[in-house]
Amino acid sequence: MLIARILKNDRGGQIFLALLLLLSVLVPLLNLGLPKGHALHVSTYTLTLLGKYLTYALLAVSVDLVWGFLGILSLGHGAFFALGGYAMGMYLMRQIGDRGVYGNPDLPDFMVFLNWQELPWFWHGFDMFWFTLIMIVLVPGVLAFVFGWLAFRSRVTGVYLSIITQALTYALMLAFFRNEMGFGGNNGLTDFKDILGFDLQSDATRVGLFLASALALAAGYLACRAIINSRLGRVAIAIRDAEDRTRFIGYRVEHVKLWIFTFSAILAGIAGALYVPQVGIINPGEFSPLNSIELVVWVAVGGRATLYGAVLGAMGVNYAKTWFTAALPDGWLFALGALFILVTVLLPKGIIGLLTRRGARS
Amino acid sequence: MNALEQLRRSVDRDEVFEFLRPKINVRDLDLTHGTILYLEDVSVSFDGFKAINDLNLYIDAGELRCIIGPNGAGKTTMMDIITGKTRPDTGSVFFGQRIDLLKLSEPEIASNGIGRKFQKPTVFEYHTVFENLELAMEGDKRVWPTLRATLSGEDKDHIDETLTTIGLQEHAQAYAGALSHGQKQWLEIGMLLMQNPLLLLVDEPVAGMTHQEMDRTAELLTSLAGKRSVVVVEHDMDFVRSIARKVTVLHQGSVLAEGSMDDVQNDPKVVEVYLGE
Amino acid sequence: MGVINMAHGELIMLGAYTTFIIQQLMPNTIALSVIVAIPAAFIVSGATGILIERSIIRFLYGRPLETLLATFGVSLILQQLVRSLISPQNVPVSNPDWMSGSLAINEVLSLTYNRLYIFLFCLIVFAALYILLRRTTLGLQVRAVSQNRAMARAMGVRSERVDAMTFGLGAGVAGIAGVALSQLTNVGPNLGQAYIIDSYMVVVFGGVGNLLGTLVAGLSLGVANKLIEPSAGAVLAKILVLVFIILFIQKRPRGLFPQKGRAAEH
Repeated sequence: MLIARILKNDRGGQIFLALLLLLSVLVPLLNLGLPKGHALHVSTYTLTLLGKYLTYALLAVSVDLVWGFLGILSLGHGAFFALGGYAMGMYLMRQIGDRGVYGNPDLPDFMVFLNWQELPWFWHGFDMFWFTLIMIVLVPGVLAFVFGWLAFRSRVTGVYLSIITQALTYALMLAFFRNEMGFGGNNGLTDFKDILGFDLQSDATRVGLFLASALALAAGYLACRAIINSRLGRVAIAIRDAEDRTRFIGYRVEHVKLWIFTFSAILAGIAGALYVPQVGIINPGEFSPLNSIELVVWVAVGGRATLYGAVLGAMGVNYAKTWFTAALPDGWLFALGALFILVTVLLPKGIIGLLTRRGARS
Repeated sequence: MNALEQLRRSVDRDEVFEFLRPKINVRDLDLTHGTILYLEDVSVSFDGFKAINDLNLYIDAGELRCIIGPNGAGKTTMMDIITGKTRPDTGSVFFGQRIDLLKLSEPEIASNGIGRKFQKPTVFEYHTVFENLELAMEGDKRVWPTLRATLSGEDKDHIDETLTTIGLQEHAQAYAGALSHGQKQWLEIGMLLMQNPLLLLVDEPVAGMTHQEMDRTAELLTSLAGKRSVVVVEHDMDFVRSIARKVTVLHQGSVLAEGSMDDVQNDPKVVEVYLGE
Repeated sequence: MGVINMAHGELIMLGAYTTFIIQQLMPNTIALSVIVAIPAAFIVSGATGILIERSIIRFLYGRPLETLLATFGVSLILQQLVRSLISPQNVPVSNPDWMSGSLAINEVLSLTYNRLYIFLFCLIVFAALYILLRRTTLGLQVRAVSQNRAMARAMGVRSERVDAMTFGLGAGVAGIAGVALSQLTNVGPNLGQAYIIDSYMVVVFGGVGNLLGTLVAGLSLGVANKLIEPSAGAVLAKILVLVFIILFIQKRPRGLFPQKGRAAEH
């Protein structure tokens, strides 16, 4: 079978996908099947939290694909995530219809508040789910394609590239903060009611979104692994290790980078689209440079160039974040800062690197 | 080209627009003059320093040419120009009679049949020896075909053949990063062979090799000439003497002398450059 | 030095906070406090810089991306430190009398004294830095180490000390910039964040390791920003400048004044 072939030499991936499968059977069962108050009952809050982590994991996988295997450290992948999220958010806004505070059937609340008379042109079509799905792929994809085409063609590499990706997400953040942009400004898009007619607050919908996230993560992982296993994947690693050499044996380095970067941005966009209905809000804060840098650290913590390390890192760091924000809110930034330093100085290969080294020694 | 010239050419009915011309198939380069590479009046400077100064160089088809010269003579910069890494300020560089190398990018030049070995051996350290050769193999190197590429039995045989030629059969599954310096040099030469180029540019192939390895390299390079043209840049004079038929001496970015090893060695200008006053 | 220091903005912030603390310590002599703050800020930020270099960065030389991540961690810690120890809110820093008021050149154009002084002050610092790098032994050693570490060591330059000094110097100058900034804007834990992107844009624009390029880039970006501002608004102006830089780097992937030739590749 195709999946078996993709995972043939990927032990970590086999373990990860088995665990993911277990999680996506067990968690919904324990949530829907057991009454509240039962010792093993998984609350909807926890389920949604896990669903959120899964979307983060997909985002981390997309970053690992370009950073770990292609050597491009993007400090702006949060932008693609947020754009996917905004596309989904726009659909969810349109689904509110006349149930908003102002009861205007044609305009979202924030537009009524700003005294706008009609829907801006770029909001048209977002009342249809299929159109939204296309946009979730297209918007981050096209942005990544144009940006990548400009950057890779003129051979912007290394730190320069990282800094301009950061400039990209920073510029988008400033733009989305503006009310005139028509994306809800500061407050972003929120107060969502339902998706495809299903109530977003109901447990069943939450389970559905959780499963969709798990499925997307599994599919995204397999797609990335398939690319890495192909000759194109070997070319990508070759570019990471010796870009000039790759060029001199006849590969169009720019094109390889461009397509993989674009694919990765699309994955990030899909992750964002799944994230928004689960957390119930999308605002310009998602574009903040800190978010994009933080997600690079998830990958670094887990271990670069492994894919499953990215998943592990995203889950682990975000679990720690949730724990800290509840127990020691002041401590989180200290912990995150320390994590940045520890990982780069002491654990360049992340947790996975540590585990495999242990394994090799015993 | 000035505007008038442009106008004249666009009304000239014999002139065919660039994009309408048929793509030249590399394998039928027009080699009627027996020359595969033309460098004419090439100059390039970095921050006022003239690395290449009015250089003229012609390489014949099937020839094995050695290029020597003191440090800073412009040997590596010359290779950079031929392979598209550096663009010259003036001059023209043609491959065969039809292909203008100055209009092509590095990968285009490579797929047109010019292969290059770097001064510092550069192989893909996190790939196995086998994979290194696979990546270099001649074929469609665009993104989509590369994604879908599979190894045919023929390809495998071809790679195995090359492995034998460069003496690395036993290391086929070893990571390239684990090879010795000399073995890396050989692997890089093997990668060149997989590209099946018409012209090989080889920058310091025997640096860091033992005498035995050197002899084998000499043998390999000589056996390649004939079917392909080989240009070797080397400092090691014994090695040059062992393979050279024709030697070009570069000095301060232009050709100082050209001829057989003996001629060149007895040329007073060369002696002066190498030994000082 | 092959180091991208994302904590630079926080070193500026530390300088600004030093000014604040000194004003708290000597509330009756505000006029003098700013003068005292300059060397104090230089020392505080400089020492912090040396500490960062000795404890983290020296393990990461030649790996700019890793330094970027690690120093980003440092910046988070410094911000949170200020938030926890002093206050998450902005703190008031007062202007001394001799810096208030403005110099009216004509009816339209008037320059506030504080901006004028700061402009002069920046010129002096730049000149001092330039002389230090071009004319002194330390400057010679810094340039030697940044070009060829192994060779410099072989010739007896104690590269580790030079590294620490260079880093401390850069940090100290950032501290002085913090004193200047405290006279212009609000001083708060996020002060560094606001400037970090701008300052790295300036580096990208000017090319890494080039003082003159940095000055030209800094001035022209600032001027461009202010020129667009009236017609487009502050936020849009900033966005346009960012977009411009993204486009600019296409033409000049290594900055305005790149190093050329084979040396630049390795």
